[in-house]
Amino acid sequence: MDMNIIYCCKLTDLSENPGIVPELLCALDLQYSSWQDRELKLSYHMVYCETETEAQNVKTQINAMLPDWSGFGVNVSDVETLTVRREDWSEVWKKYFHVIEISDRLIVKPSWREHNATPGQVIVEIDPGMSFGTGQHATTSFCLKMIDKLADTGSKSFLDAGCGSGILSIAAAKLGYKPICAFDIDPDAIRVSHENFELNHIADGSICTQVADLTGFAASNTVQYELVAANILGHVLLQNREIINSFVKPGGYLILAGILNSEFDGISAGFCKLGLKMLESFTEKEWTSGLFKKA
Amino acid sequence: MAKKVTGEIRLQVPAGKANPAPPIGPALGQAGVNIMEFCKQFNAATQAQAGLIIPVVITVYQDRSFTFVTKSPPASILLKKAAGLASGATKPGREKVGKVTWAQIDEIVATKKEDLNARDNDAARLIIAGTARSMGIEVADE
Repeated sequence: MDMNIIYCCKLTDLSENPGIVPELLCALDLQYSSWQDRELKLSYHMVYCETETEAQNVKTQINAMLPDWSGFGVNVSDVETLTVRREDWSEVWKKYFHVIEISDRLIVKPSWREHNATPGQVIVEIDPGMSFGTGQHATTSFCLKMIDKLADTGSKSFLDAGCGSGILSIAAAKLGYKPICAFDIDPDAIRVSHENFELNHIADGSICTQVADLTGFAASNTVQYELVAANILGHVLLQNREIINSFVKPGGYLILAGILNSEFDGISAGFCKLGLKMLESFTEKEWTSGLFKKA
Repeated sequence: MAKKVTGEIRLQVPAGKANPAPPIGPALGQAGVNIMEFCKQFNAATQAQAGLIIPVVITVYQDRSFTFVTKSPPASILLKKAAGLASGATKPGREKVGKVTWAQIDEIVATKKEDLNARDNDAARLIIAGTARSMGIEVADE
């Protein structure tokens, strides 16, 4: 038996309800994991076994049960045995995260990656975790580019609406923006943001934070900001456009991100009707983001 | 932040005892999820439930950040409890090891209603009764 190999039985599941097979595998006292792929619209279940024989037996057992399972909506299209190479699982996920050069000046990297900074470069360290905003996504990347670009026009106040991991606020702080305020509807996001502020040696209290939605933040906020970044889902941006616009100082800038390509024209038009002018937009994959200026 | 979901990982993990070994390691590793951070957060969230198996659904976003929610106990554990069994059949489908009533099935459906994601109550009863059959537990009228 090769100790570097894990023997598996893999089920490809086309069931409408992807939660049923895991219940059934648990009922058979099998050790499994399930992956429901939202893009491919199918699920895989992997049963982990000690030996090849055990994996074959599991395959036989499951195949024998499929006619019964189909009676309550299970549609497993394929059952196969395969092997997975044993790896250092506590490290293997790190291969997906690299140093990202947002611009010549602004670098985003996970804490375990080395980067020899050149003079004047600003390094933002973000370890992926329980809040969106690792710097890998097109929407985050566009916001970072705009924050970097607008930093050269002098120190500005910055509002991070829907801050996630706090990545935008950290970049803004390191690029000289102040004061900075960040809020998110998710308490975990604010907790993670504070962890990331510490990781980046951002002084306590230099970024004010709040757990709030747009309406809640607006109720307590009395300040207008020279730069506002709202990387939130498209329909939320459109529904709350007047509130978001009220955060922007006259002559200030607004970054809108998190918008599907198909939604962008409608959302852009909605904000332009409020007196904002679109300066530039950027599309990557299914996402479009835009930079706007308030008259 | 604008979250777009890539997929969901479903696991059953002993409360307070998540670690990078299979099934957690391969499942999260292939999705690029920070395994140690998940283990830390899961163990903190479930430490008060020591001894229980906790189903967990981990939502993975496009930038490989994640969130997770814990769910109600697995149907099989509730069925074993209802039937007074320590374990299911060793030869499921051929061996009957216990019995539950439809009233007990309904109690389990009520406990798991939100997590089963079934079309309606009848579909949920079918799933739980089918799980019972898989374990060699007979469903009887009385």
